[in-house]
Amino acid sequence: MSNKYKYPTTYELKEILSRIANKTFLNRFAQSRGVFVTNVNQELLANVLSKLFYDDSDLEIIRQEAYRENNSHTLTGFVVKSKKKNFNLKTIYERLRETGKGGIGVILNEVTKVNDDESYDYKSSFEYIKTKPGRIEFLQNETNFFNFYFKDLKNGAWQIEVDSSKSTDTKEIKNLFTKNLPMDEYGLELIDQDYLTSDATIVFFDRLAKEGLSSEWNFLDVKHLTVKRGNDIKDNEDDLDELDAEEDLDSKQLSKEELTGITQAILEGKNLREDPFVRDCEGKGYKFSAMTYEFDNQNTPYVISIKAEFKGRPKVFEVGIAEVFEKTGIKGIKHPTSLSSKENRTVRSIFWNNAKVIYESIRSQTKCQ
Amino acid sequence: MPEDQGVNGDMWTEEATRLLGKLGWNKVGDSNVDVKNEDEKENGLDAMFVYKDPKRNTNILEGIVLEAKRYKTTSLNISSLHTFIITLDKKLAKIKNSGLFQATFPKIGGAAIQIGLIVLWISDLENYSAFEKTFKEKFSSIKLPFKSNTATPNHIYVLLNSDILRMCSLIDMVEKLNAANKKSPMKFYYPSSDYFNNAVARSETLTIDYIFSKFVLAESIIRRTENKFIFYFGELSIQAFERLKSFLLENSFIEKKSPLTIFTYLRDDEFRKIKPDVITLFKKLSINTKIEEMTLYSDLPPFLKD
Repeated sequence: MSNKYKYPTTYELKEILSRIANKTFLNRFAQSRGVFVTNVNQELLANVLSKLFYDDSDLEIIRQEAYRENNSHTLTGFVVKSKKKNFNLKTIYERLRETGKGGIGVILNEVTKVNDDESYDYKSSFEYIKTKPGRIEFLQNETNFFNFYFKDLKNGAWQIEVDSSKSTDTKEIKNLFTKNLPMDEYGLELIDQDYLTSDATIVFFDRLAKEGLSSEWNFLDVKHLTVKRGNDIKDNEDDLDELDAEEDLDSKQLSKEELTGITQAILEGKNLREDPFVRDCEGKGYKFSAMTYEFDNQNTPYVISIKAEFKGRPKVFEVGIAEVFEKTGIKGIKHPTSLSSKENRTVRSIFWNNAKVIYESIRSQTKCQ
Repeated sequence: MPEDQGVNGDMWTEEATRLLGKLGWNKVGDSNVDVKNEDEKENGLDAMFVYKDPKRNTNILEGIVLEAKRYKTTSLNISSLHTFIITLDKKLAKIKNSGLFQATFPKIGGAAIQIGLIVLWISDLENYSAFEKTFKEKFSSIKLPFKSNTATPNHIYVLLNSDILRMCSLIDMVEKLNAANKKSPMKFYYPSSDYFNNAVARSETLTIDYIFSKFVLAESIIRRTENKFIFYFGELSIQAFERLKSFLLENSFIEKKSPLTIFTYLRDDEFRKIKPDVITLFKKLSINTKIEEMTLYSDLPPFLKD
């Protein structure tokens, strides 16, 4: 029988501390208890720390870090549409919550009205247990938690925005509605890559560089671009992480030279599809699948990298902040920093909502043709 | 002078030395000595200790350089601690391979010197509690040197009042139990580890790893029966004891024939409610279990004074 409060073995502790947690966390964790090790790499520091015996609260800190490190937040969302023009998703969600329709191991938390400065009306959160078979038993029963926001778009449509830490989070909230609502009356609309042709994905990512953020952010660079072949199987969404790994077999990461050409084309406002490499990709049936952009803020010394990606089954669009830098000194040397969680979510939310506008505009053009 | 130097400083060095002596550490040479290394510069050492780490499979001793500091809250800040750490790191780097140093402390016997211990006593106790919280929070912000991959690591540990008094409670408990059972002094228990390739070991020495752990395991033969003891400094919740039980089972520390006594350190009124459940956790394993409280100290106990 599995023990919910299992103490990790030395091997497990060492593995988590040296491979899953990051060095900054490890230093903080060691130093906060009075242990300072100089000239040490992560492996050796993990060795030192795994010799100590911990209580439950210490182990929870380690476990949370292990989960956090694996799960940098991304933002995604979808729209619930109904034939009933006056349907109220808040009422429906509260009814599902009160009647325990979340399912086994799922906790639907209460709905709260959000502040006026938010672009959404309501907020709630969702907890679920995900069992992960694996070598490290200490990490097997992971409790996932995420916040989501929703607003009435009127005329029978509600938009849900998910501040997710795992690709499976959006699936969980989608399933809540698809399993409990009559789907002949309701429908879900996602930013789904399958509805974009190869050339449309190029236009989509191209426009995001210019229209993804507000005008105070200047596009600087394309840091990373992944292209994948378009025709994928659509029927299995049980383990998104595994499927994404399989998918990589048919994907290409661009070289620095190729990225420079693409950055240049965007900066010069050229049609990205005319770039020789992009034209070649399009000809071979590759779709743009993920792009990491770097933006510079005109009013503050911040530079951010945003990763925009179609991920999972179906390939749903999500946005994450990959890196944040603060420029200092005359030379504007970049130092890593972070945004507050609210700022972080706001930037991702703006980007995702602009992506939705671009997606809808491309799709409406496609339908017209 | 910010540091409480002179008589008070020397007295604290002696008290800290007594504390470590009671943990089974052996002092080598005199206190407050200046030692030379190859660059002819003198390094002041408050005291030098060695112990045999029971987990090591060789006879190489651990050498520990002690820095005993006595300060008032008004004269100590995080940058002072940063300076202590950097200075001690440099000191360790200089003396660890120094022939001159070995000549000054011949009794050190080729010990591996990579541990520095800063024992920092805040003397204005009335301000300590509020001070510790903010002071400890800043520990994480201290930037440590990372010179190169060729420089060897130094392990620098910092004990503040609360840690020192925690060790005093442990010593007090061990001494009381030993006084009642003179034939078989208590030994600290070091579990075996496949990962670190060490067999089970028992020793009267408490290693630095145990000082910085949330619990310490020990054994003693009382009236021909092996008794198991846990000095537990962790949080007092049912899940914390579930976790502890998991550790004990995994490391084969508890046995049906051996009574178990858990000495708790933290005080929590709520614990009274769950204490029977905690005892039941172990009784379910057919282990005769008792939970008792360690004595708490708010100041240095008499056994560290002259």
